Order: sequence, then structure tokens, then C-alpha cells
Amino acid sequence: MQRRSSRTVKLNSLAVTVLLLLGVCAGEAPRGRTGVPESAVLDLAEQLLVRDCMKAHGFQVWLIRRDELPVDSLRAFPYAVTDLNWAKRHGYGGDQRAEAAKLAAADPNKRYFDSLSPSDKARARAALNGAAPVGLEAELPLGGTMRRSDQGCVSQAERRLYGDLRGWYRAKKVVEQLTPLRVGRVMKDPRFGRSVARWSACMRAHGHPYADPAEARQAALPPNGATDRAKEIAVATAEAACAAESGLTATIHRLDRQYEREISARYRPFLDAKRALELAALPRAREIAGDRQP
Amino acid sequence: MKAIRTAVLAAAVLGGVLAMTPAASADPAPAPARTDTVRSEGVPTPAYQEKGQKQLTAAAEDGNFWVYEHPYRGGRGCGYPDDWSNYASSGPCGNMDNIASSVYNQGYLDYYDDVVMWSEAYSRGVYMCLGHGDYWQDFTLGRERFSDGSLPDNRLSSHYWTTTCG
Repeated sequence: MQRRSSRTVKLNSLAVTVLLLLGVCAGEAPRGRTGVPESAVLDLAEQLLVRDCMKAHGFQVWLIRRDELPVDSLRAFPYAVTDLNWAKRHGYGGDQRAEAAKLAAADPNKRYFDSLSPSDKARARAALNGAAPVGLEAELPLGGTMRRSDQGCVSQAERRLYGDLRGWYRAKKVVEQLTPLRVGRVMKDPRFGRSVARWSACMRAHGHPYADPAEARQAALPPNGATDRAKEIAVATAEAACAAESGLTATIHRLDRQYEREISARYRPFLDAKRALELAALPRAREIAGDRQP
Repeated sequence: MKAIRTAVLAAAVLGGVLAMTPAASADPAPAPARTDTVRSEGVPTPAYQEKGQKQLTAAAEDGNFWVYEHPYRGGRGCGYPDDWSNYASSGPCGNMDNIASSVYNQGYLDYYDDVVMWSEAYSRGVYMCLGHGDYWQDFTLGRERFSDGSLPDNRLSSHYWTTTCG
């Protein structure tokens, strides 16, 4: 197990303390991720650190950009497609999923890894992720414990960036699960159920007899991979129109905001800790990225 | 204004750095790992793509999303390199529907290296997400939960890879 240097610990602790004292963390918490430029710089710095580490183990890593990838419609619209213009263009996002599948198949890191011999795959995986998922733990808001190795190039990179690897892992994993926690609470709320019933009546009146948005989505995106683009767009467009007409869109927005406020208040220490660690890491991340400019 | 300047600067730095490829980088070439074939752009072609078939691997934990029948990675295990929309469908691992009691994301670096797991086939029902390198070791204890608070033990039916759980 690697140990943080006392200097890193002190600097990181000092940075966190200063940020807290200045009230940096008392403002509006970032929603899910930090602002795009900050998260992109942190992501890039981590990739560069991982690339160097993997190179030292004899493996190649290609830098990738996740900010230009197609939208995951289930993440963008976890309750129902509520954006009429988006529905007219993308339906339920079948085109986006197809594009994502193409990108995934062409991903240089995936192709490289897939090409390795079984023994080299095992070595590469251990070099990247650590030999076993032990060393890091996070108790999650929904319950249970998530675990990961504190060894390997990913952990080494995060330790270099954030200093407090255990604190970073714990805060990151808790904050990540606030999204499914919120989505689950919205969908269990009786007001959501009543709105869905009104939405379903609207859909039926327009020739789409589905009980809920998940059923409509499945009907429009056949599981056998066959695609009927016209049908997908027609059903998704009706879904968005009925969501507006039935009040489902307004209910979603209202409940989403309500549960986000409640959940953010309850898990404020984790949101603040993650934000403080990210802000403290930014100068290091910019330095790392700057050193690698062509 | 400061935020805008920072964003522009960051984007410029990012654009410049990400434009690098191993071929364009000034870094020395890494030690070569064994590969089967190499395409013109320097990225090897996976063997299974050449064979034109999707591959499931049950022999070693080698970069896939792993689903296990028992806690602590015990019992039957299946490693999925790609999205799998119905665990009941046949394949080299057989029927894995509603039997998972532990899961391990052994993904390699990838655009899509986090995994969204669903309680029903075809990404329906309720979900939970497992990040790159993360492990849930024992669903039978009844502590881990789906998004609606229900228990996942013996209830996983499909998954897909995503960019982030956050």
C-alpha cells in the first residue's frame, strides 16, 4: 500500500481548509460533475498520469475525449422524453446508441486491449485496476459498500491528483449515487404516478396505448435490434407532447428539484468534500496538462 | 468573466493536448506489448472482430463486466465485454438471468467504462451503476439497493456500458 507524502497531505489539507473558510463550498453545489472545463482538465490530467504509469508497465494508452460522445438518452431523460425538439430529431436516441456502439468498437484503447494475449490482458488489467478490489471502500446512500483497489495506475493517478485517495473515492462514489437516489425517489412519489396515468391516457388517445414511458420506449426500440426510425420518432414525439399536455413534464421538474434539494442538503458534507478536493487538484491538473502540450 | 477566460484557456489547452496521438506525441514509443495484428493507424485489431463474432469470456477476469452467481465472485461467472440486453438469452455463459450475487467491473480504459445494471431485460425496471474497477461483493446481505431502494440479489437481467455513473 502506498503512503501519501506528508507534504502532499499537508498541502491538500491546507487547500481544503482554506476553501472551506472562504466559503467556496457553501455556494450552489455542482450538479453531478463540475463545470465542463474543470472536469475536462481533471479528466485529462488523470488520463495523462494513467498513460505514463501504464507506459512504465509496458502498455499503451490513448487519450480520449468523453465530452463529445453521443447523449445517453436514459441518462438525459430518466423519467420520460420531455424535450419535443430532441424527440423529433432523435426519437428515443436509437441513433445515438448506434453511434455510441460504433465509437466503442473503434475505441483505440479497447481495440488495443482486445488484441493482447490473455496473459498480457491480465497484466494490463492488474497494472491499471490493481490486482484485487481491496483498499478503498465507500458506504453508499442507497445502502451497501462499494469497493475498489487502492493499487494500480488509476489509484496512483487519483492519489497524485487529489492527495487523499480514500477521501476522494468515498466522496466521489457517494455523490455518484445521488443521481439514482433522486431518480428512484421521484419515480416512487405518488404525484409522479398520477401524472404518468394522465400521460398514459393522452398517449392512448393518440394511438399509443402504453402504460408508462418505459413501455413506450421498449415498443419503439425493439429488443432484437431491428429499428423502425419513423415509429421511434413518432412514439417519442407523442411521448414528449403528452408529457407537456398531461402535466408530466411539470411534475418531473417540480419533483426533481424538490428531491435534489432534500438530497443535497442531507449529503452536503460529501458534495463539499468532493468539490474541495477537485478545486485543490485543479492547479496540479493544469500543471500536468500544460507540461504535455505539443 | 474569469470563468469564461478560464474555460477558453482550458478548452485551448485541452484541445491541444487531446489532439496528440501516440504517433504525434513527442513521447518515446512505449514498450511494445504482444499483438496479433496491427491496423494502419497503429491500433491492433481484436481477434474476435476479425472472426466476426461477439465473444464472451468465462476463463479469466480480463477487462469485462463480470457477473457472478455467488458472493465474493463465487459460482458461475460471466464476463461481458459489451452491452448485454437480456441475461436469459443463450450464449457461451448460458442463462445468467436473475442469479447474480456479486459483480465486478474489470473494464479497461474506454469511452464507456462504467456499467448500468437493470432489474429487467432491455434496460427496463430499476437500475444501479458500477464504476470502473468497482466491486459489489455480496448482494445476499441485503445492503446494496437499486435506484428504488429494492434489493438486487438474484435480480440482474441486463446491462449497458456508459461514460459515467455520476
